[in-house]
Amino acid sequence: MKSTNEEMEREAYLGILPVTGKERTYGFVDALLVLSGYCIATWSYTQGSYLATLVGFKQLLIGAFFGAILMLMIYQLPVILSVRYGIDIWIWLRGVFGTKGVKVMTIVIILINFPWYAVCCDLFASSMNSLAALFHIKLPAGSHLILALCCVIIGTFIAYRGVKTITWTTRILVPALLLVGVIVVIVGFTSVPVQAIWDYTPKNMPYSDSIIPYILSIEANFAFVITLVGGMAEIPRLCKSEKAGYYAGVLGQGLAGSFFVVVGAVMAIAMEYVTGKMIDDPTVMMATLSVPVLGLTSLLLVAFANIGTQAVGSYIYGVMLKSTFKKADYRILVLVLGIYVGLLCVWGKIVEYFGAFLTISACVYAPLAALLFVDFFFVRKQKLDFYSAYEIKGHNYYRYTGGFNLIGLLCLVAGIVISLLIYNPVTGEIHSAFFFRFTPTGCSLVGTGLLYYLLCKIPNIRRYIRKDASVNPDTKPFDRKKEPPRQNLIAMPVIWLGCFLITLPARLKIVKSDKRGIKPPFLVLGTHHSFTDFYVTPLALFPHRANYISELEGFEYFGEWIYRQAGCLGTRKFVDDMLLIKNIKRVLDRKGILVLYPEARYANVGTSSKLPISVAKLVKFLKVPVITLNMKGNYLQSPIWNLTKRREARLHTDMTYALTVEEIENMTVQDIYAKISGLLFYDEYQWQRENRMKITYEKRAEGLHMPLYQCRSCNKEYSMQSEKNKIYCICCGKSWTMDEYGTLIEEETGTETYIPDWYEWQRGMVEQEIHAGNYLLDMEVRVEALPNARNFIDCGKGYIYHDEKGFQLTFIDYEDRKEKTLSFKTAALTSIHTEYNYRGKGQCFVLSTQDNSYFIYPLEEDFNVTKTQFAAEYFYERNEKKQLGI
Amino acid sequence: MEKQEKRLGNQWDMELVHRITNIKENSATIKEMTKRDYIVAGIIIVLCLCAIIAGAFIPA
Repeated sequence: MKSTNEEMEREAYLGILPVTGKERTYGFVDALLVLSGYCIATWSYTQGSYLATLVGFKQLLIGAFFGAILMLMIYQLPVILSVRYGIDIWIWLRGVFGTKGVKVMTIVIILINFPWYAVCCDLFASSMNSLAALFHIKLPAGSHLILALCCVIIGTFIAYRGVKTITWTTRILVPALLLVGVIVVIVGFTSVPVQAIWDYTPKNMPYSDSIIPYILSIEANFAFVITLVGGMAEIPRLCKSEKAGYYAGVLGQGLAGSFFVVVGAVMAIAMEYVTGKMIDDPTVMMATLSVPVLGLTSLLLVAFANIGTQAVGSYIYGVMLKSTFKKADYRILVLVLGIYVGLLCVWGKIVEYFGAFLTISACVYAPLAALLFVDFFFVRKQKLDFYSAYEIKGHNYYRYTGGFNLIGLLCLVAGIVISLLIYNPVTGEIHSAFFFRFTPTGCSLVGTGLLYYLLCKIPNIRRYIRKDASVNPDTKPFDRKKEPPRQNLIAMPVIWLGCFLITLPARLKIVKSDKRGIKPPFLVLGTHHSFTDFYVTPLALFPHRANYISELEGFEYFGEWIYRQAGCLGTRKFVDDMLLIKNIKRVLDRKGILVLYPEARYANVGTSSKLPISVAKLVKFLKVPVITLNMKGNYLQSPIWNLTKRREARLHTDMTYALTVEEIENMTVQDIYAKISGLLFYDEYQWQRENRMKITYEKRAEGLHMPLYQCRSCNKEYSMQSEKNKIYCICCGKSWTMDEYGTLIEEETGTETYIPDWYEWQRGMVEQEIHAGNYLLDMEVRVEALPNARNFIDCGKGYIYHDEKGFQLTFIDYEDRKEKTLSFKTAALTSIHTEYNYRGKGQCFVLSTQDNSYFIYPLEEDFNVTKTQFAAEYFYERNEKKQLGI
Repeated sequence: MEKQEKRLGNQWDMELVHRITNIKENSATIKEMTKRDYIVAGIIIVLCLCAIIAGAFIPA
């Protein structure tokens, strides 16, 4: 048991298990020391001497400290997620790159980052050789490689032992190194005049504009600190507070690391003053500027610094690899990393080619940091689905496209391109002087972040990225009070042109029965067959703008901003909404046109639904002229049960000046209702037959088994299936072929059946079932809530119960995570919204309150939404009659 | 060896689920950055930016 616990604990520190609050071992000081130890390596001296070739000492100080801290303060902010949740950033980045994409990224980062350590080992070997020479010790041939490999082996061994060994090592090492660094600075400033260092400026600068080397130095500082982004979280995840983890990273690298950069610069400047050459080897420097024995301090400077860096780096990247390849053993990974560094040392040319590694790698780090920042703070808003991130079975929000988040990877590539478009790091060529002023790394950081943020605003992309929306959903209800804007005037030509082009193949014909040229304000009532209605209506109303009553899920799908610009008023189906009435009044009061599709549903089988009496009451209340649009062919072109467009379908719209203001005043609600119902009556298949409109699409009946769910022959429910141009019963085997005019012909007998007749026959069967007292819906379901236009919220499993009193929906409410039962009374439900295959998730029906819509998916067999719709409608009718005493 | 690996694997999965379900409790024991901390960080960022811009005006 103990060894298992030890294994688990080991997995937390050396693996990818989240580190719990009780297991945190690091305060600010320990984390600061470890991260300082990581940064204090001879690469700091190399950086310092490089900066000294670009700028004077004062500018160098500013860049080294303020430049480093600026970049660290920004890109280190997401490290708080590591502290808060005890995880590595590479767990989070599974959300950004996908579960496989992140594996590719970790390998890329390690491949381009680990040459740093080969450089350290090479410099370690050089310094040790120089030290031996100072004391006239002759080392055998091949000692350079042996010394380099010693650095690798010792550092790897420390990392192999784990985080506790690293902690103790750095507690001794870092203060000693800081002390030695101070000594070096003192030696540097005392061996040459202080003023010589303070007033130092580089000579023979090749740039005509003095700002360019300064920007290059800032860029070098940005690139220098941002290379640490890959491993920024392994230590902070062991910290006890977010502030400690964050500032340990910032100050460890921004102060301690930068101090040693300045140390390197001081050394190089002092050496140039004394010898005329910029040398950054501390062993040579100590021997030249002070006494040779002080060269022994280089043993501390170089040896322990590099070994300490090797150890901490191996730990950090070992854990990073572990988070990607979870089945691998941490110790094996550390050994593999050690072998990789060793091979680079054996190759022996890492210093020669290092410039290329460093500059190109900076192009990758900046976009990576930007994506993490934006994703954490703005896209996922600090919440992650850990079950999906850890790839627990059944949770796959971050699988995206074959394991790759195409958007994240696209933004990463875009960030690399941004950097290269501004500045070529290999040739040193500046392509854009303007953007160069903001540094290529800075531009890449901002550009990538902005691109990712804006892409995530596009609804389809947001849905792609935020499959985990239920982890941290936007729960704020849709703003029903918001005044509807007029259709965007600039968008109108685009809307008209788009609608024209979309309807052109179907040769839309609009027939206006009245040529009186009615002017706004007026109310438009249209039939509702399919989404094509929204393309036909603007053309019928041309050149007028209008506002449209639209269901909220359209806002979610296309985006609220776009929908509002298109003039849509958001509402939920089959609820009483006085705020909607108020907004309708607002539209008409400002002399606008309001379009309403009173059936509130697409036609299931191409026939008109019964209108609610409230439509007539609305007409009476609004006191504006009424136009009706009776559209034909829209259903035939794209029926709800099979949305594939039938190319042969033709579109026709009858536009009728239905009611004048005077007529409305004089007519009763019932008379208005009768007139409107008559004008909006349609039967698509009848129209198709009358007009001999052939539709030869070979799969014209596929999906028809959804509205025709009950066998006309054996009466068995839920036994119908369809394929190509046939529907058939899997129970009795009877089959019907749908001819090119939409008529069903039974294969055995040749009997013709019209689809609407079959549909209504089913309705009759449901009514019989209700009369016999046999109807009951009691079923397990899955529930998704839609409170606003931002996201669906997965509420998990629930139960639906339906009888003559209405619906009762029981589910776990996302607000308080407690079970809740909502009642939807029969008297309030003229009908229900149904879908046969909603966004590929299967059939569902929708029940709404004023501030929420619940999409209900069956989890049991033997169910059909159309049957539930029939039952709901019948219960409502029966209740209405009861109320009226009929 | 195989059995031990499988045993550890199952226990790893159980431990992972246990730790994930406790993440909220864990995070509650970890002191979070406050609004004031973010403001201070923002001020430091602005100061660093000002220093860098000022550095551009130092004579070469």
